[in-house]
Amino acid sequence: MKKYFWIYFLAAAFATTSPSGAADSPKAFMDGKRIVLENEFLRLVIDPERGGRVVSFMDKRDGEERMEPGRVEGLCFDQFYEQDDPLLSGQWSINGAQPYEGKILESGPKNASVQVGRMSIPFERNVYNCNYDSLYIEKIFTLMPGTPVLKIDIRIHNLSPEGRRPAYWFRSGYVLGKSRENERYIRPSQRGLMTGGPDDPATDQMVWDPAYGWTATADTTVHRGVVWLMDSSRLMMFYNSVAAVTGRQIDEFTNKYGVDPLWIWDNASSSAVTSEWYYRPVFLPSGGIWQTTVRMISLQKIDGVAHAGENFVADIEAPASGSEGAVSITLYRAANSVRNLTVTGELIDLDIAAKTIPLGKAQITGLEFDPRTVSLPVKVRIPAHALIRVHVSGVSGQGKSFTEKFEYIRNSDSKEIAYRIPAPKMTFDYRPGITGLKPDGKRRVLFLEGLAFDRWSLTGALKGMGAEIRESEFMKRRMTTAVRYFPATLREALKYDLIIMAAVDARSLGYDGCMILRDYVNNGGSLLVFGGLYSFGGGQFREMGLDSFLPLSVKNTFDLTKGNDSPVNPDAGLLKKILGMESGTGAEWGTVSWYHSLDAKKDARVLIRLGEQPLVAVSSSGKGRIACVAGAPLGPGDENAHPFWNSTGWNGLRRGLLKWLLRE
Amino acid sequence: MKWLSMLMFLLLFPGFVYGQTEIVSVRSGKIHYLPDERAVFIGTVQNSGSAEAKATVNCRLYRHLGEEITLGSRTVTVPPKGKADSEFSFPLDGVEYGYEVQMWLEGGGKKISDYFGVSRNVIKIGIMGDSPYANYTDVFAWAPDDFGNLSPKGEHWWSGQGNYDYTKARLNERMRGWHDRGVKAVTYGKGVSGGPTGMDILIEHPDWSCYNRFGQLGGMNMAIDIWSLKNWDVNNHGDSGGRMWQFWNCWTPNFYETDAVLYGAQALVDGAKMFGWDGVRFDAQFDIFGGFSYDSKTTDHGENRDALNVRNLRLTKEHILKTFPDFIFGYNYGAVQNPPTEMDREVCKGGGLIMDEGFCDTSAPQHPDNPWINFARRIINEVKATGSLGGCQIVFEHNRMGVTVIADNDYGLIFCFAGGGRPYLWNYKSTRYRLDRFTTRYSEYLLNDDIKRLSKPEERFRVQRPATIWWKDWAGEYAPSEGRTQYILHLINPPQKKGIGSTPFPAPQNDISVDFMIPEGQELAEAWLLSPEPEVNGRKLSPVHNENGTVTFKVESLDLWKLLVVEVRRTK
Repeated sequence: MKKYFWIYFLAAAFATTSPSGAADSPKAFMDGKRIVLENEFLRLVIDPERGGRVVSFMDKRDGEERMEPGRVEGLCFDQFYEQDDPLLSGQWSINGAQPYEGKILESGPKNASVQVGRMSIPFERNVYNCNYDSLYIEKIFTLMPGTPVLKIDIRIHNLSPEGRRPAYWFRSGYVLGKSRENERYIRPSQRGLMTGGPDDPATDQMVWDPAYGWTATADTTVHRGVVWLMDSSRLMMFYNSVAAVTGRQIDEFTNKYGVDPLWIWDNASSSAVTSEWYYRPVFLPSGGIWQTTVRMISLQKIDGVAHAGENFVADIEAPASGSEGAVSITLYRAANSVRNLTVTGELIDLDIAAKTIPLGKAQITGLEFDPRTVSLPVKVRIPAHALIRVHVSGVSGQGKSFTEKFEYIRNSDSKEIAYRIPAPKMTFDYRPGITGLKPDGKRRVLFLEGLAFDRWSLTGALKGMGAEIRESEFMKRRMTTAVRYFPATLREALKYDLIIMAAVDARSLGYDGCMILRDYVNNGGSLLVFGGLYSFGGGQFREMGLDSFLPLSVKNTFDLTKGNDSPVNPDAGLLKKILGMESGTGAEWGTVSWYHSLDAKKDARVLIRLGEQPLVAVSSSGKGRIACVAGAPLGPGDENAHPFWNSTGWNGLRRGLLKWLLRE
Repeated sequence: MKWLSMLMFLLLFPGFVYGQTEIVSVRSGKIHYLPDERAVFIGTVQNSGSAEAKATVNCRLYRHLGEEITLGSRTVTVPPKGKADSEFSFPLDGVEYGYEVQMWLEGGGKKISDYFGVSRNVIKIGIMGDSPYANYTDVFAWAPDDFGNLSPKGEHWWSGQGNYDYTKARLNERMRGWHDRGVKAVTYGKGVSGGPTGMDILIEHPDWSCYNRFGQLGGMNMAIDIWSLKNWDVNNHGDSGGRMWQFWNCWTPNFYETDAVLYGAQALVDGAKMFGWDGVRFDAQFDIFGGFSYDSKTTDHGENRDALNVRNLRLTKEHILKTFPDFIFGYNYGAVQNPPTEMDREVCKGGGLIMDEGFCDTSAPQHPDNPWINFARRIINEVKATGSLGGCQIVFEHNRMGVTVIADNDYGLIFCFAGGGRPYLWNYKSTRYRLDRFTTRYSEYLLNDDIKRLSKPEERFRVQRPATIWWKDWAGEYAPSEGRTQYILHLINPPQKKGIGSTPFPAPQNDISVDFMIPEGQELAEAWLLSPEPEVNGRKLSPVHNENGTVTFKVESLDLWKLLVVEVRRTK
């Protein structure tokens, strides 16, 4: 027995110090041509020859491999992209997996770190592109003792004798549980938390308006998650997909249709799991170095993420309650060690004129990677629509005090908390609809005013209906268009009952604004769109995806058309049914000098036609209402011309449309 | 008897009373006359005595090199401690270029001169800038819409471009002031529409606009600010804090549409009727810009764009000339090409003003024409090319922003005039000598497109010393009348710095010696040295005849610039 004891003892001692076993200090060592990097939490295998990425990722707490067998993805895959074509023309493709140089920089006892790097390839789709010439890309992976945090320092060196403008893309593909079906992702956008899962339309997979520097993926069936932290200042877009299109498909769609990337991703089938983000292009002088740091935190026992930063990751729950309730906050340690945390906050009741109610306070002495949940009591019923603002203060490991705040919106329309990651299947009702934000009953209208907007005589009509108008004027400069004001968040947009676009182009709203507008309508907002210079085709509605949720779709960029002698044909039945108008056919409609030649969509209800062309159409999108007027307020405006916008027919229709849109 | 003896004394010795009078000013009624006008000159006599005095004013005209025309004398009675004017007039009889009018009092005293120019087309001898001798003015961006509205309906408006504050009363008053002095007023015109009324034209005629490939406003200029249009109230500057916004709402018409061309031409006619403009200087005429029509056709509809542009310009000119036959046309055009295009010929035709704004960039050290010699030669070449087509080359002031101006302005003007260019916007007030007076008087030897540059100047002239003087590029010949030839040589003390910017004044050159080789079959008639230094003057030179048949002229000193004009005639 003694003999066997010593054998077992020696075997165990050897095992604890062997590279493949659990070790107290981080280590890095070669395994053939690959490099293993591990500490007591994580075991990562880096393959310099295949894209300098992590090809194996295991969290030792569950011992399971995160890489799907047979797939070429991995963690920390990177490349440059062409700024005008970020999705289509990568510097080197996923399957290309160009070889990097790799070496171990440090192997414990303090840290373990591995460096990979390679020169860029100055070709893009086999065409020389000097913008990628003589750039050296370098990644340093570092594990520290006692944390499930992988630090990745990224540097781009410009070794050319002239300036470059690279744009960096970083992606990771992995599966946290048994099946990709349960994968979910969360990204903080200016419109609130954006979550999604398998088979989302591409427009939901992208967040063009990142609000903070973090993104997370999780599988709540196995309660595992990964949070990525990155610098937010130069972030351009988050992208996630539990199923993404292939390069071949992208090529096919681009060549065939030459259309907007958003459209492609909406219409293509899927094959990959990815969590990625794009940095904006950066000017890099000769000899210059661009650098950034990314951190990956592997989490266990996780059900959701509402906020993440260097100091902590937070989850939140505010279940409906009776007369009193409580908000639960669950915190995890992130990259820094922290202590002496105070958690408090306030609840803003959006149902009762934004009334603010303080939350109780809770203390946490120390925070580790196991979750700690605290309950903040509320001395009122937790309302259906609420904004919860959480304040966490404490001291970091370096003795530095910090305070971080984050917000979350509770939405009564969803049984689940808005940000959380439901299983097994997401619905698209998760977004924070807060239509109850108008408790005073006032109608608020945001009027985006373009050229000749006043010809529609809307301002007086709206004021006559008691509406409060926020005017925002269109601007066109040599290269850009803009509106003076547009809501920066969905919440801000939802303050308005109606948004009017009168000859304002989609580029003036930006991708962010177009998405806010779409979400605004889906969440119950009303939208009225008029024709004119900078509208529909010339308004870049198709290119920016704005016409995807309008009743009328753009056929051609140059769709502005001279009027002809075609009669104005109102659909009396629809006018009565939808707008409650009795005199549709009896009215006099004047002359339509200019209109946009558009197609009516299947769900469009065309109220008025010019000959066969749709002139005025309405539809619903989500919970919202949309009306489009394809007529343009252009051409002679004098009495002799007798224009459409001065007709008695338009006067009645205007009233009817505004009442319908304002739900009066 | 005392009073009788006093009267006898005055009659016998009139100078005694004249001694208390002096001529204090002489001025030409106009700074610029048309050749068929009768010029008027006024001399003012001041009496410093306490008794009424009589004074006899003599008047003489000078033109060409040294032609003298005596206009006689007038006696005026000048009140004690007062002034009196004496007026002369003279029919110009079609003789163009520069004149000097000189007056002095009988019995001695100083001689005072003034200068004026005569031409059918003011641009031919045009001085424009901050000089009192500027004979035309170019009013920038004053109109509600430089394309479509140069006859504002209301009394008060802001200009579309620049948002300058204007009233009809003020503009009319300025116009009267210019015209009373013979100064021609040229309106700014543009193939771009703007301001609120311009945007109304766009709204009414979207089919007249250029579009880009995105179906949005295209062409040369396009900008919209709805806020500024909404708040456009000349009586209330609103949020602008009393200042104009300087925002130009604008769009570019597609001048494939001849209706748009005629609309712009009629707007110029209406403007000239309302304010009396003598011409237009286009800052982009009604050319067709690249891009698309509203219906996605290219702006030129597949036709020859140059031919369409010529068509447009002819349409414009014909339309305006029907109402205003002497209307002047100018263009911010650059330089004509070699060989010239049809458009080059059309813009130059009839003395068109051809502005090259590109000169304003030459003060940049990296500009290829920053070296003074390149700058000067570019002027010579452009003047030659434009002049050969009948146009008048305008040299834009070099932009001296960011550089210390020492002699830069003097040299810029000297090279401009010496090269035959008409300067635009230059500063005449800070020059060392009165270049405006000098160039007005001697425009015949400067701004005369009949002067032919000598291709081999060294066969006619030789500046023996000093060697540094610049002259070879500035030698020309001119035949003022049958049988007469004048050889013109500019003597320029060169800049002491290679390129434009912070150019110091040079040290004067002395004892300059110029040899002149008399052409075969000719004999020397006379030679003149024309100079602005220190005052405008022209004096006959006495040559030294050399044994080899050449003559030598001595020029005692040269500070910056002088002209030697040698006239020869056929040997009898």
